Amino acid sequence: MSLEINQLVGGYGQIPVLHELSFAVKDGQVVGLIGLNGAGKSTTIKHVIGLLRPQSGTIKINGKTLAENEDAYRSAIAYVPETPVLYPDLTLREHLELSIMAYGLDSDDAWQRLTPMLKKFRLDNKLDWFPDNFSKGMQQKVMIASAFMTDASLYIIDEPFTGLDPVAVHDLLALVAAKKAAGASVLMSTHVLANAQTNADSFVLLGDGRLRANGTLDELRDQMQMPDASLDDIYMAMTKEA
Amino acid sequence: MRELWRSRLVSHEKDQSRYLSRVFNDHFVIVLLVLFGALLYAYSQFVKGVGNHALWTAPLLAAVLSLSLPLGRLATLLQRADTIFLLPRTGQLGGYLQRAVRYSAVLPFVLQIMLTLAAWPLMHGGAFVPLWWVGVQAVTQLLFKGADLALQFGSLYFAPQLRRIWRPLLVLCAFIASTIGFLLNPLVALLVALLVLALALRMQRQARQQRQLDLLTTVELEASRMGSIYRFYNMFTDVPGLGGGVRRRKYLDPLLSGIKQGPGNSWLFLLSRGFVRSQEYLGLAVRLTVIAAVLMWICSTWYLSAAVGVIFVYLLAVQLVPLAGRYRDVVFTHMYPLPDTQRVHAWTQLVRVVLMVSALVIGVSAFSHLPSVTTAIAMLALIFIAGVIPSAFLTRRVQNANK
Repeated sequence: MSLEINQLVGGYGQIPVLHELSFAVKDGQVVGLIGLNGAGKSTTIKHVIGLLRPQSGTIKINGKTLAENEDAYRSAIAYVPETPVLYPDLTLREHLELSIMAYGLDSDDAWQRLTPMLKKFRLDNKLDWFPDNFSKGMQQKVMIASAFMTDASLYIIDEPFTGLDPVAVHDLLALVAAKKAAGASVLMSTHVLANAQTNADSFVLLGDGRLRANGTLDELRDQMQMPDASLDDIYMAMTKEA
Repeated sequence: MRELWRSRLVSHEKDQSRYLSRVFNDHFVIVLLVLFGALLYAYSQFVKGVGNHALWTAPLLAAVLSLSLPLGRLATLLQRADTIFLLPRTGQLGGYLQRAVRYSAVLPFVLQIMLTLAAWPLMHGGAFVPLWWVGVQAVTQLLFKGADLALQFGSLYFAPQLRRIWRPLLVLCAFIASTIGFLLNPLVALLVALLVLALALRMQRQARQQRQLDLLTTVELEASRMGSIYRFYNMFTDVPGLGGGVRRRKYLDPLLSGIKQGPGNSWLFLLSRGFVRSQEYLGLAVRLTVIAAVLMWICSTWYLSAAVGVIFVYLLAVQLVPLAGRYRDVVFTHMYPLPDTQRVHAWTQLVRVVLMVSALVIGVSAFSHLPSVTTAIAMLALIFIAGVIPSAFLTRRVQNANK
């Protein structure tokens, strides 16, 4: 099991925002993390990537917490943030080289994975440019390429579709599918429920920092007694219930 | 308009004190004190060597004092948005600007008095001069500066010639009058200063009576003045919106290619590029090195050169500490499976090289001014000390820079 969250209580400072959250993302699975603005999706992600410390509960990746083995924990995660975050002083090539060095990847292998991605994203002729000067969509593609060239066991992608053109959305989903097929786990936070429904194996619905529902689409339909409902319908129904 | 001036002044002073507290940090104050001591020593040695019949000092002093007059621009504290929001009240800004002139006079007046006091030993070719000479010359300088501010004020009323032509003429006039005053009697210069002030005030009055305020130019001049100030602050701290920015500097890539790529060098890879490509750090290192190298030509002994060299190298090291925290807000620096010790080690490695190169340049300058075996040994010691400073004194600050 790649990611296991157990009774997580956490937040900013002393005030808990997440209340006894528990869910898991298995190997070879894509889980959609869904909820209204302010539901706790980004806070959950920040706890998983180690930017926030749980007040109680545990987060394990491949069976280890951050405290038990920090290097192994961090090496296992690849992250695509909601807003592109770039180094102002590095060219695109240097961003990728830095990621290769930091994760201890084999340079040749990494560039073999990167080259077709960069071509698909039309970044292959911009390697010596500063990504800080790219458009938002192109910066997002840099983030995606940087994350997906690794061989992480858990991919966390936060609102990845924002700013991407339709072709890039399609390419990203293909990358997610490829990683899934290779046995990695993917936790994908998104408001684009149509994409989530088509590409995720199961869903975690958050509301006010609590787990509202967790399961496959069929399981959610049973829970809500809404056979044949789309994820969008189930989501709206759950929101009204709250 | 009185209220407007008051609120602008309060806001301005709050803003300036925030930046000044960062500029005048304890290290910089120590450096300034040492520099001031070095300059005083050098000046005292110079004065001793002048004798008491050196009439050439008169035009030299007059030049220094008259060239100091343009220092201290009119601070109107007007902002770009004022060209929209204050446009209907342009005609009523006269009172506001008079307060601005009074405020703008304070620091330049203090400067003129200090310069006059510093000029005292050399006022009459090195011979003894009574205290009243100094008093009269100080008043003369204040009158000339008052005239300069009056011309600046008047020029804002669609009278740019007051700024572009009459201000330089004032400097020339002050030079001639002060030279004659130092050679004969300072009362001559005082009389000239009174006449010049009267003339400047008349020109200012005429401009204000005959024309309207050129609000656009007034705002542009203020923006230019504040820009100079913020650029000075930016040498020591980040000024929002005036971030030095990043330059590609491809010609420096060969220097960076020497860093072998591997997990152990990730932070060195990143910090070296931050140093070379950011305007703040490379520019700062070059500026401080050049200043120190020039100062070597004022230092008259090898030990003074060594002391100033060490001070400047240490100052440079301290100013480079923020580089260690440059990427604090980039989430990936917290996520990479890299120990924080690597960041500290990388900073130490990089800054050691920078300091040793800086020390080498300073040493070459010192040796060229005072060529001797002792100077050479002192400068070699400086280079050695430069290599030791980062790890010996700054490790804890670098560790905390990323928090």
